[in-house]
Amino acid sequence: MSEEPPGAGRRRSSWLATTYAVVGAGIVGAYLWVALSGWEYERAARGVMPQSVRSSPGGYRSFHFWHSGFHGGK
Amino acid sequence: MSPVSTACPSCGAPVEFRYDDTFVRVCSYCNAVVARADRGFASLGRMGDLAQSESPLALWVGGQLGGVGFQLVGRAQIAHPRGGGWEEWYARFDNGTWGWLSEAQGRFQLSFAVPLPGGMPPFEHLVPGQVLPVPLALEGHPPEQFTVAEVGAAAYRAAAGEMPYRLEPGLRFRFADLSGNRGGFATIDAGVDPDDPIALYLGREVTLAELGIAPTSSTGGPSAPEPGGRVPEKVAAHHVACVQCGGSLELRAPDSSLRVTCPYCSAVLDVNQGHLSYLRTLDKDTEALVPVIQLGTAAELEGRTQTVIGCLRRSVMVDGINYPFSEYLLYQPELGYRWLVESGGHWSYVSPVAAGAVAQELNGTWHAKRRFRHFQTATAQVDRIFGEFYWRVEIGEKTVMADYVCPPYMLSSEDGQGEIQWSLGVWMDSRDLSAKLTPPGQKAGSFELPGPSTSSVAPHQPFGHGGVFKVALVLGALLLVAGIVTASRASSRSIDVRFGEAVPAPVDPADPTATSIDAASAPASSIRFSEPFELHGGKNIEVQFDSALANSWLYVQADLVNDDTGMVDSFDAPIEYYSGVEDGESWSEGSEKVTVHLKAVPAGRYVLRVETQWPPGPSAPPLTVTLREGVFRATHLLIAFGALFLIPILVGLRRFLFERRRWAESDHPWLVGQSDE
Repeated sequence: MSEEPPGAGRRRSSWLATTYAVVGAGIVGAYLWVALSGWEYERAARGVMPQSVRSSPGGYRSFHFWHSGFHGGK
Repeated sequence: MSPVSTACPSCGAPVEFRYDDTFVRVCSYCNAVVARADRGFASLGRMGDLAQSESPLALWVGGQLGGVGFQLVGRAQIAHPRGGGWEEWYARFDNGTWGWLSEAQGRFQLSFAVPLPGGMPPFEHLVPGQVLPVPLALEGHPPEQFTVAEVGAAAYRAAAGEMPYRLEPGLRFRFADLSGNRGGFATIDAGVDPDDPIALYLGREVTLAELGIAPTSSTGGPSAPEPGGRVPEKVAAHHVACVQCGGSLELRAPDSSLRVTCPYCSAVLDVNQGHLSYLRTLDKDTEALVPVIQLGTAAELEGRTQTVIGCLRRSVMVDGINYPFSEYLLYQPELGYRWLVESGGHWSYVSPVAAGAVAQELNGTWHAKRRFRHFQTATAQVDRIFGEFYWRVEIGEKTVMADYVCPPYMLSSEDGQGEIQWSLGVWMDSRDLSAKLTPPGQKAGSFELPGPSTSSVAPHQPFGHGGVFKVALVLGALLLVAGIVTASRASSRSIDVRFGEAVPAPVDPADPTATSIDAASAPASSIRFSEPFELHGGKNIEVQFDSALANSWLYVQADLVNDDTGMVDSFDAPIEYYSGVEDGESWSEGSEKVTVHLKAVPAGRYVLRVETQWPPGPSAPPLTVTLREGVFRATHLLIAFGALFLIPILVGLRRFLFERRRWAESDHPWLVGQSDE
């Protein structure tokens, strides 16, 4: 008698396993893209500041400063 | 070898002993068993006629095993005590040894007489399922552990050719069949009386190809008659008339069937080599059966076309609840018998398993390197029958059944009447099975079996989404490798950021606190610019602000400015840290460090502008700024792992509930199975 019992044919993988394989591969791929591209969930606001403004320490107040509203304290 | 000829003591026909070492020769004309005696030859009585069989073997056919030639010189048909029987062929090898080639249901086992080893229990002590205390070994093969499969008594029914032993017509001898854990086969022949010597025959299953024997015909014809000999009786046509009502019955396995029911009058008929005799009539309401799968349906399973020839309805009673199940008997001459079993809409394909191939150990029951867990033991009773059967089935017949599961397989034992029978079932999806069945007169694929209810779980039903765990393992390993690779590639290049002198932040005319009487209590602030530094670009940036605060706060607003293009990444970092002792217990809140991660910026020359605010009064708290480029982000890896394992965790929860439902019906409802697929 053979070691393997006579089965009813090759077993199929479930639709969930197939879908998960695709989604999971996407997650691994997304991680690789994030890790290699230097992507970050962006907290910073990006813009362009003219040179003339930047070179004036007293005159340059960032956009962020005026809108953050943080004043600290307990 | 010198042939000896004589006249049959019974009929006078010529009888020839071709070999010196044979004891008896069956007369080809009158079936008398002619034995060599001290003074000539004597008849031991007459055998019955050989029954027609579908054996592919024939007398005087030659073969070869291990380079040694042999010839099949004798043949006996032996009646099993519970009906049916098997055939034995006697192979005379060129080196003078004798082999016993037994044939049953298309399978062949070749065994040789071996000395009985010491330590063997007395024959009377053997019981089915017992493992022999001494391993047995055939020459040239490793020792095997043997299990008693059957203990019984059988009788010679018919014979032909020459025999290497004293065969007496009608002699009823005691035997025990043993099954080895490596596929070996053994028979203990205990003779007629307790005082008779015990003979042990040891061997293994063989194929005709191994023996170098070509089947005599594709359909399996009778043994080739000797010149002038009688042609064995051929079984009557497959179509026979019911002896009770005259209805036409079709016998699909006429050689081995012992019972058949009449579909017209529900009579149960005994079958004896195709001859029918009436036994009783089934009660149409309680004992007759209308099978879901029509008799004669072709089943394409195991690579062969098998035929549904009978159906049983059996049931087990557990805790006062009756659990019925149906068993469909399949027949194919080369394969023998198989079963399709239906229980609660769940279907299984069931094959016989040698008793020796099953090992019952403390940690479970093992077969084919799989561990099976006990599910249920119950007494099953035959309730209804329909069709043709190879044993003398009776309504009310009871056997003790034990089921062991390793999804999608179920190992079952049936213990009763001096025999333990093991079988292996594999769970089948009802749609898959339907596609393999073709009822007579219908097209393939047109048949549809009823399936189980979605809430029911069969004892050996596989959890359908177990593949998710395997995929998760593979993807998890891939993600881990990706994490290791990205961690090793992370440069984490520290950038030396040097700041110039801090200058007070300009007062904003629009700020009401700047001009109010509370200006003195307004937060103080200052601005610092770093000296330009180079960033390689294409990698994330980590900026860490560290300030030794004591129950205070520091608000940092920073700009990373590309000195060449004017591109600014503006971000803030509030730092606050408070601590103290309250009710004798120290406490702290916040942190002296804040880390900000920025996405990759283009390569170039950059300046960091840092503007800070702190509570009025004290001087500006010290602030250390550390900037690194190309930092490994463990958080990202953890998030990826979390996302990757979310589905397997949910599937695992579903599986837990699935297993709970499975085992709720078992003898061990507190168990939740672990082994699967």
